[in-house]
Amino acid sequence: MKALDNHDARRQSLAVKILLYALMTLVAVILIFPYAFMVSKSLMSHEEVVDPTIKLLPAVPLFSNYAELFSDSGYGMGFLHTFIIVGVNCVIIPLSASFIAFSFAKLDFIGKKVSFAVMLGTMMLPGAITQLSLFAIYAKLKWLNTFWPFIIPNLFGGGALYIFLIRQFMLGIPRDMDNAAKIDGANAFVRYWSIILPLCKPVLIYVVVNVFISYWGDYYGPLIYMRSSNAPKTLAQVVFESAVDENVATDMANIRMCGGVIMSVVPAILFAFFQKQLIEGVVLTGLKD
Amino acid sequence: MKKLICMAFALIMALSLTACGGGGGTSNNGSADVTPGHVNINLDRNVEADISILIPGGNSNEETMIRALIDDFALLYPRVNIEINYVTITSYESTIRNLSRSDMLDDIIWSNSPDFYFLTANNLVYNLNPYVEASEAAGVFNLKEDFYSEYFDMGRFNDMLFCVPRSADSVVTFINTDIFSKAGITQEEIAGYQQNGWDWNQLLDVCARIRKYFDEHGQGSAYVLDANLVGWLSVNYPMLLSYGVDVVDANGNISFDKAKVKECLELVRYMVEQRYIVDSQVASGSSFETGTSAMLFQSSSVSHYADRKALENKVDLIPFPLIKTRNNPKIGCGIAGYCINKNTKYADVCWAFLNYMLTREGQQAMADNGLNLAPIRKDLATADDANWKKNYPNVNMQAYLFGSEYKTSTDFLSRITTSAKTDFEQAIIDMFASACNQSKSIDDAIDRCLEDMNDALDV
Amino acid sequence: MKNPSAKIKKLVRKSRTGWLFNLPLTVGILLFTFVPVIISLYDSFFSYDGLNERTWAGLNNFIRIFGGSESLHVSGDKEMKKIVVNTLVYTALSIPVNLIASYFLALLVNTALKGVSCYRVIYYLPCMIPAVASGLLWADMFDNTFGVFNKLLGFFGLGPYDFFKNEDLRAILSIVLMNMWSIGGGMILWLSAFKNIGKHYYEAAVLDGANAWDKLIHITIPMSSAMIFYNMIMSVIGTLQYNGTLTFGTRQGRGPENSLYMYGVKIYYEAFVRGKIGYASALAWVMLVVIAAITVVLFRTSGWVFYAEDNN
Repeated sequence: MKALDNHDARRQSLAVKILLYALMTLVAVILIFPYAFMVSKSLMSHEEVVDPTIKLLPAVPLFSNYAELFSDSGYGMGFLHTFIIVGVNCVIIPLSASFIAFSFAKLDFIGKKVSFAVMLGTMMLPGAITQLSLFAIYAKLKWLNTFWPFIIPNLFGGGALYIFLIRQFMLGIPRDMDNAAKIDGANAFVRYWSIILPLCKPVLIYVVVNVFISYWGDYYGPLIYMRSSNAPKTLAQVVFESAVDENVATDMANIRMCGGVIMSVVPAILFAFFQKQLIEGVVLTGLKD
Repeated sequence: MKKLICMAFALIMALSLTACGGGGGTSNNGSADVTPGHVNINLDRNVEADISILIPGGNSNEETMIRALIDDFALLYPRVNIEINYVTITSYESTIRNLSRSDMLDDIIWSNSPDFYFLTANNLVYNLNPYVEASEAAGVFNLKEDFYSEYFDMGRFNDMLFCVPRSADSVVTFINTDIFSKAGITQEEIAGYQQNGWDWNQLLDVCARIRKYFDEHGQGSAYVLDANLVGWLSVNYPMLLSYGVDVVDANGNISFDKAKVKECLELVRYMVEQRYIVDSQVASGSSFETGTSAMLFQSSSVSHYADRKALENKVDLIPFPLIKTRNNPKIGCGIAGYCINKNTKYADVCWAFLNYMLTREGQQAMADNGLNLAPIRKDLATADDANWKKNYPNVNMQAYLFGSEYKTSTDFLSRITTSAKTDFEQAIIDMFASACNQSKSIDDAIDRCLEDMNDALDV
Repeated sequence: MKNPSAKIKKLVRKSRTGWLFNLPLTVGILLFTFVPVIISLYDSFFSYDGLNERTWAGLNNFIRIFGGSESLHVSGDKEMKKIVVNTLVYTALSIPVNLIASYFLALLVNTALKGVSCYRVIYYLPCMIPAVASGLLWADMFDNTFGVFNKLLGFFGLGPYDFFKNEDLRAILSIVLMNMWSIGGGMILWLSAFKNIGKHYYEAAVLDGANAWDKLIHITIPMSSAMIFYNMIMSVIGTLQYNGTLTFGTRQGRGPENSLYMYGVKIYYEAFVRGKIGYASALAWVMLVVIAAITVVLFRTSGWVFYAEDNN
């Protein structure tokens, strides 16, 4: 195994290159297997998919499974609702998280260390601690069957991890730029908005992509908070519901897999496009501060 | 700074106290009074109400039939608006808990046999006896004469009716007629079993013949019977009862006669050894669904199997086989139906809806929209124009209705504390799974089950 | 020169801006974290089912977790022993295996070879399989007779192996194995750590005649130690709370003979299946304290972590 950088790569002999490709391909074949299996299962007939001998490939690929998935109504609206939740969060989370991160990275205030520690502490909380009471709180606020549980809490930073990562990135921005603006009399808002924020592009893209992926595929949250037939259901929830037939307590595994394929295609494309930013977005320098 | 901290602290305390209060204070079950004060079964046609009904999510059958009912009900009471909400069956209790303590529980609540005891134990639903009495007095129906009343009994707790059954769900034997005839089991034999029922010895005999046929035709890995033993109390519990075992006695104490349980499990083990039932450690390519297993114990709608390609025109029904060893045969069945939230503002309207569900029109409408189970009304059982069986003229749908006197639900669950319920279920299921596993000792399995049940009670 | 009180005044004035920017976080944490957290702390001292009135239980819930006490007539939770063993074994295996595997995966694709970014996408694909599908998928692949892994073992004359259906610790091993397919997620983080290592270190090393192994040992690993530390902390937090078996394990994620039963599932099971919200809250709080303690220890012993202050 070798750590190579750009410069070295050119000098690598052909043999090493071939070895590397062979190794990468072998790993790829192994790692892609579950995904390929999911695609294969999505094309099987019901009989094949429930067959306990577990077939790897369908006898005849049934693309009609996808049609069946979408024959259930509600997909169009589901897409719209997911689009709204994802869209709003992709704006408010980077904005609110970077706003808060700015206070940690570029401002001094009494209690900063405590606040930062408390924030990191929230990352350790087992989800079960908050889940039960949150339902009661949301219900009190009449937020059930609305978008609010998926949006309002995110106005406050959208989670410690994002704030932390943006703060790390901001620490890497040279102080001079900020100081120059300070001397020119720019207040904190101006410095945040017109100097620091534009420089944070890589980490903001990292945040946006991650926000997108987590809300795009989330069906667990909507299942808890959107129970009414009139609730704005998300795409993932509609996929989940049309793939589970509780009437007979069995799954329509093939349709479920279709849903899985559809749900995973969009994030995969996003990842392919923004790979570079995702890698550049995470900076851990100055972790000690 | 100090002030700031103090203020923040005060704010937190205030908020949490409100939230705690919200959680506990509104608990609606301090009093066990679940009987409605006065009831009105003659609603004005123009009564106005907004009610909601909680049904299992992801169950398209249940949803279409309830929608059909709602549409028809709207013709009777045009100003009643009914909204559908969903509960995931696998998280039924936690959802109900959440909804109830947030005062968001629906007016009408779907329930079934095991979950029903959760509602009654926590006094969440109304005792419907006053409505039944009023209806009988007014000549709307006569419960004993018009309905299969044993299903209403399953909706009772302490003699109070809490749940109105929407259909008569009972465990039957699904058979693959193709395999039956190939194994030499004649039409007449089948017809006889369908007519008079059959007992466990006859089942074993049929199993032996099918086993022989499978083995002689290179299908050694196929299994005869999908008995649903390792996950479904509706088979396990009636079997235990047939051997004279009840899990808990009337006082909620464990009353497990080890010797009798052993007898029951040995029957199961025998069937595993004979390869009628699959050993739980052996993976098998055989299942009723794919047409490679001859029989199945199930209670679900016939459409679920008869409409499969592998089973087209091959499905028929025989009643559940009776275990007559101790002269106490039982057939598992359960209630699936609806309850009325004790805190509803519109109890009378809710009852009107449930009452409509019980009418001939209501039952027919549901049957027309996906409910291919036996109706709860006796007059529809044999009626020629009954919708519930019209799509399956060649299937012996009467099997669902066979043997009222033997029917039993998993009512022992009503006699133990709610928090122990799932552990009891699991303990019994684990015990049967061990019986189906030839590498395990039956005695150990029984001891283990007892231990698990004792642990569950010990809190 | 300014006197001290002027200094403080200045700091307070500066604090105003800082707190203004920090305000959303503070409000958010108060509303959506502290309130629920305090409620659950409160609940942990009660016997509470979420419906009926809370009854005071004092420390009984906690005593029950830690084995009970005869003198206080609190029986211990018999499930705990197995749960603790399972959770510890899982954590002890899963964290190093995952970190090392994803580290090497990242090294493998940390090149400028043509098409390497395609490989990265492929490696990341298994992480994209949504929860809607993953449970069923893994259950099928690990099936004890017909699953692809047993077919593979059979090909080499091995197996069959029961994987998740094992009644002992081998079930836990299967989860560790399964997690190998999600190392693509860790890969991204390692790659960003590598990206931040200045090229001049490698250039200097090459001039000194270092080979690839030397570079890995003396540059790459030490220079990515901050990320190693970060990943360790995050893994400890995530792994101790793991409840993924809920989607594929039998007996509601507990496995045969409770062989898959871990702490995260236990909290879920007590709260949502048994409906013992008070007890579940106590369990969650014990978990929180344990995680916090481990984190503190990790930070105290983090002398080996190297923070590069000059990243190009």
